[in-house]
Amino acid sequence: MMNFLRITVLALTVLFAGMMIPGQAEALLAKHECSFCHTLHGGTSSLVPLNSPTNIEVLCMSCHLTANGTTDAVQPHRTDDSREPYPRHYITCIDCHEVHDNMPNWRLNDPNHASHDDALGRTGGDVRPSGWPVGVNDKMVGRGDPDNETPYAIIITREADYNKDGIPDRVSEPQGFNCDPLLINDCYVTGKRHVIFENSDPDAAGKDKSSIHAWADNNEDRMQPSDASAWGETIPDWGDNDAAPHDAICHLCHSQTDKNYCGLDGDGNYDCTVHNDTGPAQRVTRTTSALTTTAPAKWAGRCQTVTCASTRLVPRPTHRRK
Amino acid sequence: MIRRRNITRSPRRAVQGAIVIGVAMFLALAGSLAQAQASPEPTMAGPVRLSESPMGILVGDYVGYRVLILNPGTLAVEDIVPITSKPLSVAWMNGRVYVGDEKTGLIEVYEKSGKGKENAGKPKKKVLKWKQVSANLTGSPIPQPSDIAVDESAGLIFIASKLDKTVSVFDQKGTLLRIIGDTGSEAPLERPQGLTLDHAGQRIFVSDDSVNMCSGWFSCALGAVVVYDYDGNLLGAIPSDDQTDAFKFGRAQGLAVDHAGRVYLVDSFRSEVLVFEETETNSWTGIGRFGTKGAGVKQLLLPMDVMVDEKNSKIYVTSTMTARVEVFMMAEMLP
Repeated sequence: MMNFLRITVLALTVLFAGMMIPGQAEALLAKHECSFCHTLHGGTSSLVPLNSPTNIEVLCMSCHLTANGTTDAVQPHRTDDSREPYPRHYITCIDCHEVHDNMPNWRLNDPNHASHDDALGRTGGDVRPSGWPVGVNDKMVGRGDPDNETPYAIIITREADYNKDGIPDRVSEPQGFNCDPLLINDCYVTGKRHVIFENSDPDAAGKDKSSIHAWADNNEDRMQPSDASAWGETIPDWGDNDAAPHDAICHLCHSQTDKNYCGLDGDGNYDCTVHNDTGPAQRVTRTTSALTTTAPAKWAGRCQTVTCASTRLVPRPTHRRK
Repeated sequence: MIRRRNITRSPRRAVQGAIVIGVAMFLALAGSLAQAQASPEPTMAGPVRLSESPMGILVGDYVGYRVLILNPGTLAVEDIVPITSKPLSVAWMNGRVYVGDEKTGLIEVYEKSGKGKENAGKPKKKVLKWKQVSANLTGSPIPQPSDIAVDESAGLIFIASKLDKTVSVFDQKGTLLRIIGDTGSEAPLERPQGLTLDHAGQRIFVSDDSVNMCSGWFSCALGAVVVYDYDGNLLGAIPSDDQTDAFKFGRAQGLAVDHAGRVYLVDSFRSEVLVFEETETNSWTGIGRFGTKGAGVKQLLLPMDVMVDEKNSKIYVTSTMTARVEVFMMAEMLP
């Protein structure tokens, strides 16, 4: 009896305290209710502990793999052809999406994102451009009219740490990268990345179903979005216009510069970081023509696994960090 | 002498060398030709739904934009039906492949056909290709057609729609016969996912990951398998068991039923297959589950469908995140 009273008093206290706190919370989506992920009175989380990126992704993808009612389908990061699950690549849904605030669904729009990022060991603060609206979930998922709105965002990335020893690769180099932390193009660097969220569907019918997890070319004219500068940002080099710009969420990790683009390097090669099919992530150089001709048409422009016969590391451009 | 010896032996060496080089070149050429002719093994990108067919196991490759036909024994890809868009659901009836396209909601029908010529009385081998024989079987789209089931003997096609929250029944020509589980019906559906049929008993099994079969103040795990007859009358249900974790549904997905009335339900969140036994007519009890979460052999990550091959005592499950179809032996999996 005493226990019942204690629990009742405790529950009422929590409830009252919750009511007194000025409302930050938006109404959560039905499937983003607490109990779906947290063990509360029959919540499903007791079935699968959310203790790894893989488990978290399974949770997310159990709804988002396909279009599900009003829920959009998404294309998650796929690992190489060994089909290993996530740990190697170490980025999952919640790295970008804030499921708890519901409305923005974008970590940087979370007013507490800085503390969240701190908790994850990320730094960088609020890197939203001045005037960037809060709660622009539409921008994040690329909804709306892709021809008139540039799905464009900036996001904070973490440093690569493939062996999860807590030491960034640029320091420990566990994969044998010949990585010079003083070279701006040589290492993954924590900081802001410019991401264009674009249309994943190659045909016109899918334009209103853009996916952030795809490639950049919002009206699919193989040209850089005309209004990219609307946010006071410019993208200095889109490589070449014969190919779809390879500038998308992939480049959070797969870019060679802090401006997040793959482009023609001094050798005339189209340079970016990709995975090969058998080994760890490594830099390879592909010519532009190879990139565009080896992929099936419907995949053209997408970030994808590229098999490269040579595992030789390519000498990097030597732009020194100022 | 030295010069003479050189003169006399050089041509012989040259001939020997040429032979060696020639053989090496021949072998290299043969090797490269063989390599070039050996087509690379097609791989799945994102297997979702499964269906039985006389040609093999149909696998809807949602990410790869195609339907694969697998050899039931080796699971090797034996044929590919190219699809223009995302195949969300797939079924086989009367030599045709029925595909539900997620993007358009159209039910497309494909058939393998081709022309052969006779030459001096000897039939020339036919070159068969998959051709789309209908781009829109049902006339109007079925939004988000999450699963298709067919009863060949009854000539019926059942299509679950996640967005319409119904199961629609069509004849083979695509004429709508009835709608099951719509709002206002005896047992309305919330978000039907998987669909399977008990042909003998003319029962429809629909998995729904959002239907609320529980009551009470606190929230509970949603989801159920709802069982109707072919006319849409409710026969029974397998609700998520909220009292224990053993048969609590995370995300009810594809399902199958065997001749004994056992229901196999894939739970994509749990990465397991839950098995229910029909203890009384239209009443089921959970008897077991199998599949562990992981990327290894006989492990599952985001499974989406299950198919029971009673003839060979095998159970096939798509593991979408690992892009594989896993095989389990019935005898080992059933209690």
